[in-house]
Amino acid sequence: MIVRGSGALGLMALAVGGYLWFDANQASSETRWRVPVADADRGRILLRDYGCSTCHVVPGVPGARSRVGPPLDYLTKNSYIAGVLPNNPQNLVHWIQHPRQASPETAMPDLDVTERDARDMAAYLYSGG
Amino acid sequence: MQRLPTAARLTRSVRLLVCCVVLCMLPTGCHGPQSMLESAGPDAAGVVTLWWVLFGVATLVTVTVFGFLFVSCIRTRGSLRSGEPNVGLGGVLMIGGLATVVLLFALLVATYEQAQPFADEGNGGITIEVCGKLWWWSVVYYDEQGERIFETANEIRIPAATPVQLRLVSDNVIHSFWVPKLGGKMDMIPGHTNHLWIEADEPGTFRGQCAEFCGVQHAKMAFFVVALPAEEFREWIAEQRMAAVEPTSDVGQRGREVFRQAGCTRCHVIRGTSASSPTSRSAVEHGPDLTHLASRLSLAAGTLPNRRGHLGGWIADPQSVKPGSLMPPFSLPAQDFHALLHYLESLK
Repeated sequence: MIVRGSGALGLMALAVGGYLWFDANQASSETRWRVPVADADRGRILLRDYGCSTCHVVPGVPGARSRVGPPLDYLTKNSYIAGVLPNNPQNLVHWIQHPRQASPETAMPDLDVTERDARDMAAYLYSGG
Repeated sequence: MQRLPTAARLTRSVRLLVCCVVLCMLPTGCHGPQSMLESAGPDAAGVVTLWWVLFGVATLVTVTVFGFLFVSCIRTRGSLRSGEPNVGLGGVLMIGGLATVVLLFALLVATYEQAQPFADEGNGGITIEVCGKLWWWSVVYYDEQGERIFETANEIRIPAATPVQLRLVSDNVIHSFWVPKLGGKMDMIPGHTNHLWIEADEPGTFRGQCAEFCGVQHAKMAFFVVALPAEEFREWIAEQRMAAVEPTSDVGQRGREVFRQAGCTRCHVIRGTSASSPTSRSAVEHGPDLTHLASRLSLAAGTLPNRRGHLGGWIADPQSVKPGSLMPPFSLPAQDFHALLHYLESLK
């Protein structure tokens, strides 16, 4: 009886522990893609204004169906940005502002994006999962 | 009448409410950048008045006809019950027939009065020839003597509070020129020249749209009319008639070379530069004159805002923006691409 009971308790402890570990990981993956002080809704509109939508597929932006550049859906699944920068919010904001500085051979033009605008666009792009 | 159960009554009121809300939302469609009910010029104001008159008369006629229909239903039921024949409608029919003829004739005169002055061919002042293309607008300005001044595309600038005569033509299929806030609609027919006057009361920007189905990109065949104060208009004319400035920077010169070598000059003209001249372009593959491209509001005939990102995407893949457009895609080496964008953006 005692042996049996402790086995069940042990299993329960394992399950709870496993869940907590999983939950903590989920939370860290969410905070990992959080762009500080940004407005994702505004970013969605800016992605059209600056013309990103004329070269990229961007979910939720009308008319964004071109494949001149890579599609920007499920951005958090990418390991690298444009194949050169490790994918994280800081690098994405930098890339949006100065793509040719980060990768001199890229065809993506510098669009004179302000830092605030770049943060908002990054926030929207990561919000798509 | 049997009373409906509470649930059914509730469903019915919800349905009624939804219908009312939807009906209330319909008039919001009357507002917007291309609303012909919000006129911005005298010709358009006349059209709006005529529209309301027609709407009023049509409403009156509908109400009257349904009124008579209702009365006749009641009377027929009465006469069936009493067995007496239903008589005495001869006078009503005569009045109805006469009223129809008089009303239709009055509306015909009113419409003719309103539409006629649009199409008058006048003299004096600047004349603008607008040619409907597949799927954009070529715009050529002529001075008082009828001399060609310059060509531009997808944008018509006019002096505010001054009637301007347009000559409307097409060299392909039938298009229709329409700026809802400024005036009437006029077809552009191959082999035939139509005339139209437009006038804006105040300076402002007004969107226009092709109003006759003309092919796959009919919906994205738009343009802007910009009304300027007289002084600004004169300055604009002076700027536009000038040739493009030759680039001085290395990247600008490289861009001009790319423009020439990539084949852009086959369809496009940049006046006054060594990149191209009006004679270098084939008449069949006539694309927009790009001499002062950077000074325009939109790209691809009102389809995209004129900004670097859109310009780059349009050059690299026009077919995803306007499928069926006559502009082919260009995959240039990255540095050439940046130089070309730099050069085109310098064409103020």
